[in-house]
Amino acid sequence: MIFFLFLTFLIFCSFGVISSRNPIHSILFLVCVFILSSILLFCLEIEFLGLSFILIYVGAIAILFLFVVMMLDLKINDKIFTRLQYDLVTYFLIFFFFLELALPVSNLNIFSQSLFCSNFDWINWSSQIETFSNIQAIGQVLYSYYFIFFLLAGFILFVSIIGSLMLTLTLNKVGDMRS
Amino acid sequence: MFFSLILILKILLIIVPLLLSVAYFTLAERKIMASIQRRRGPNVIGYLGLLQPLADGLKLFIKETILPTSANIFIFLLAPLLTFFLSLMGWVVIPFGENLVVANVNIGLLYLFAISALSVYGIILSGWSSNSKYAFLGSLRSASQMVSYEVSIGFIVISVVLCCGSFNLSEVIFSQSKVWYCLPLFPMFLIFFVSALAETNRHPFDLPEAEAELVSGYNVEYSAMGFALFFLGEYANMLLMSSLTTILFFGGWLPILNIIPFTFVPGPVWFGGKICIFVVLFCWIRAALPRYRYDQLMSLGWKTFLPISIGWLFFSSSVLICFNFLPF
Repeated sequence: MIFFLFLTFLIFCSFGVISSRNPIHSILFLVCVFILSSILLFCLEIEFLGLSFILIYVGAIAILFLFVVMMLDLKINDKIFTRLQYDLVTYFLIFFFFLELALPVSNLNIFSQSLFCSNFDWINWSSQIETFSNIQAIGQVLYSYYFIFFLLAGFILFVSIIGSLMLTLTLNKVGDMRS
Repeated sequence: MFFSLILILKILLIIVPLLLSVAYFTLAERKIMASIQRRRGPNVIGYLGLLQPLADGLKLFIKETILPTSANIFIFLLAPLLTFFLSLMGWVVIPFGENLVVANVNIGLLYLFAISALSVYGIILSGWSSNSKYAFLGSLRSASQMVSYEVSIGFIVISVVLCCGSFNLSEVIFSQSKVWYCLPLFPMFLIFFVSALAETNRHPFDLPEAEAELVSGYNVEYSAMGFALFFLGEYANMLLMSSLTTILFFGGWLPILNIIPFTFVPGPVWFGGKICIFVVLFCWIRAALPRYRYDQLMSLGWKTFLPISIGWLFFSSSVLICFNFLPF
């Protein structure tokens, strides 16, 4: 049940992201969304991914967003027409994605199984004897079956590092004494 | 019912001593700095000034809370609460002795790291919501400083984890029963301690509250309990960082040598004593060192500490692989 409680919070927060007037508020809602989604991962017992979600998205990416938005002098646009224009597009996209997600989920019939018949409190005895931690489980497949994707992800990150370096690098000109 | 009562007792058993130790941390800081500067320090209230922190707390408690009219009230009130709660949350995974831990989680180090990543928000939100230039500049400085030193701390933690093979803090300590990691990883210990100073916005890296330029940084606009919560959070974070240094490099609750006279002393006493050493070091550094310039601070973080810690990570992992020392 806790899972669905947090899921509702998550949906409210993600509506807050797109509907709040102030850009700082919407970024704070975004942070809430990240934290709540990592809590959902905790509920599914994927603690490692949940914590790395917090570390990467909340601790690095959202901080940078917040930094940039704080230092920009943003005018809050409150004209109803422009807001409607943008909001229509967002709500259309939301509806579209909702349909995309809802169709396969409705086929799975998970609600009848997990939501209403969860009175059976059973113990998974095999997990009491021997457990894999998350990190071990991820590492076992990441470095064996999917090592090529791991390498490719590394290459993509490397290319993006080089790209951002090239964008910010100013070569030392003659007479530039500050360097 | 019984279970939740026990849980509440456990939480109180951590929070109350923590707040007491934060209070006496402030007193210790003033006393140590006074003796370094050949003064007496606080010595009026109570015997040798021992009740001074309580008097300070009472003063902050009964002061008037001022809310600036141009501030964003909700976030303005949220920020100190967030800082305070996050500084308390980290203590849940700290082992004070063998089996003396509230939550013995598998990924305790990662948890601590995530908590410290979140604690940037308290500072940056307080700076923005105060709607004051000093507070804003202070919070920007502080946040960028914390984010950049977190990176090198992460690499140092990974090189420790490589040596012990677990993210669990108790196992990190158990694996140091032969030798504390401050000996084989000595350069990492130094870098970690300096990064911890920068991470907690402490001297000589206390640029966020440079009094001469920024009055007192991100908490200028706060008064009474808001300020007190920031203060408590900051000092609790300092204690957390020194206990983390103890756990990672000084063997936590383990005695110096595993022989008779040392093993009579219980583990938590060892742990507390080691934390006290770092607390004194924090105060000593504050009294002795001048403040860094901001660009020096950033170049130290990104151009010196980060390459050294990445290089050490490669070095230690290759040594571990060469001699087949990998613990798993």
